[in-house]
Amino acid sequence: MAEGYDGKIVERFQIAFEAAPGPVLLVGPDGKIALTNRALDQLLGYDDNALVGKRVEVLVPAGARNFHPELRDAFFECPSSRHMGTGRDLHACHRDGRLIPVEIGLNPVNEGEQSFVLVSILDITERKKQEQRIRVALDAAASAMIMVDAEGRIVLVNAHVKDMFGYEESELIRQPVEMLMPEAGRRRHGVYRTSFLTEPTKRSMGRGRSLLAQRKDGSVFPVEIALTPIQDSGGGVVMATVIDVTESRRIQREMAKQNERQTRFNTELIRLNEELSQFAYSASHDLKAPLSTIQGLLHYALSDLQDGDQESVQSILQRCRTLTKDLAERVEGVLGLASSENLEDPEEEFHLKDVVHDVLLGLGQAISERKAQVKVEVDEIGPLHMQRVRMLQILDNLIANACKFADPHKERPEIVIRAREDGALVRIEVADNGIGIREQRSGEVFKLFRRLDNHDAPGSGIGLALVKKHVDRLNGTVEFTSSPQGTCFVVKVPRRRAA
Amino acid sequence: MDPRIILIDDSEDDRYLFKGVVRSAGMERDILEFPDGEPAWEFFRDPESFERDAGPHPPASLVFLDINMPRMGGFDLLERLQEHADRLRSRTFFVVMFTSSRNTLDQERALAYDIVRDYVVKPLDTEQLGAIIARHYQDDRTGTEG
Repeated sequence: MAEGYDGKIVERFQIAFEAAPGPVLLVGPDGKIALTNRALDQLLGYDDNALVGKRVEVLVPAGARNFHPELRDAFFECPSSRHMGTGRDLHACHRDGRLIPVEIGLNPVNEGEQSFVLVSILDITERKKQEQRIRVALDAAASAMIMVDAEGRIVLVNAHVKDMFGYEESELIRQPVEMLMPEAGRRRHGVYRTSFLTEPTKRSMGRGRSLLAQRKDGSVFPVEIALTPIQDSGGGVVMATVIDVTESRRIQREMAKQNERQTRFNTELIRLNEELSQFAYSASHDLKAPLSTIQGLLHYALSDLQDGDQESVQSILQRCRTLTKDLAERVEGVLGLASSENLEDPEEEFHLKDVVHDVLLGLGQAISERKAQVKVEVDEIGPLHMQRVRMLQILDNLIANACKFADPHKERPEIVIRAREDGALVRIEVADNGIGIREQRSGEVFKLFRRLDNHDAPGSGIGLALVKKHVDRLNGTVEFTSSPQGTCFVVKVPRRRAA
Repeated sequence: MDPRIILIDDSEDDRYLFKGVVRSAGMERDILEFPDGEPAWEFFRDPESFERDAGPHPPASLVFLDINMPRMGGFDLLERLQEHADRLRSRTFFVVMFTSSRNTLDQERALAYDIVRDYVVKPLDTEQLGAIIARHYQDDRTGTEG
């Protein structure tokens, strides 16, 4: 029985209390407990009526105990029926010190001059457990999850959201979801959101567009978002599942780059393959032809030998010797051409004049034999930077050809070597007054074993193929013009090899 | 009358050998020789002016054609002949490719031309030559085709 209180109020509620299904207690204006029911005593671990006469603060968690009396006094000054601590998590303190999550309803009751408050308590332990389970499930998901209500406010987020966006949960709850996106898209998003709610279907967001999200620190990152509408008792809500795709986009870009490299590599392979099959074709004609001839000639020589035709045998063997010599030269040329593909010589600085000088020195005998007149008109050009041997072989072959294809009807061969700067290029001309190259599809001229014109003209058909290969490797071009008055080859290559 | 033999080959040695084979096959006759496709084309285009002074025309010509020659190669000549097939119809001739190449692409490419009937890899011997002549000239259709 309550001490110090008018027994009337206790009597008035006693029967109702015992009948009440949930825990209830009655608290007097001085903060002392006047009455409890069994449900309450059991919930909080007390013997029947053991709480009566104690200050209600024994049931308040230690952290709130100090300021509770003040709040209590305020309630009595202007009592009203309401929930306690709206928006906060409330706990009741069990006798053994455990905190039990509760919701608390307050109802003022008057007895004569005295104000009491009827406190009804709802144990929400189970509900909290359920909520916790959902939290755990949400946090276990691999992506950030954000639940947004019909007004576009965030009602629930999982733990990944904090990692992804840098906001604490408390900073997000009840805020417009637009705070998670860059300024520029916010207004539009409001419209999208409204139209989504009129026809909510499970789908990915922003199909065909690249979506961006914004972190607390203002930085922006690419995301993919799936939307799942959920019909809640309080209206349509949407669960947005957000995946940060920075990494996967990076991988995509990597792969695109990789692909591009692969494509370039393939193109190079195709080119090499074509070259190889062209080479195989040439070999089947141009290397094999002299062998077939030699074979036929030797067969002939054998039968001449049987007939005792010494003279014929001798002339046939002479022919064979010449053919084998030619063939050996061709094989040499082909090997040179093959190795010119990937020269290991380092790139170096040199002066074109020096290379021209070296080439003319090497060709000295051929030039003097033909009594050729050579003019060198090379401008002052800055040093070139490339594989020197390529330039050397280009000039060597062009000048040697100019010598070789001299026109016997002219007084003497004249060869002019000119060079000047042409933007980033060096432009080199080798002109002669030789027999000229008859009209040809210009690409043909540079093909392997292409003998251009005259049957009697010397030449293995390799020189210009080699020139072309070197020029290609130097990222340059080679062209020619020709007439019966002579031929002029023009080579243009970058003065410095681009890195 | 036996067919006339035309040889188009840039190698003097090969022409020499060819003539030797023809001789030892017992076919003593003139062989019309061209060092590449260009003079040969001049002949095909206007054979009358070419051999105004020659005797009666043989009924048919057997053309041995090398592939790889300067100026106008074997395939370039075939292309010309094909282009002007209508105008050349009055003449009966067909072509035996005569080359050192065993390249199958060359073979397929050559045999795709109507006028090409054979493909021989150098060097040629007498039996081969005899077989070719027999194959194409003791055969009725050759007299009517061209």
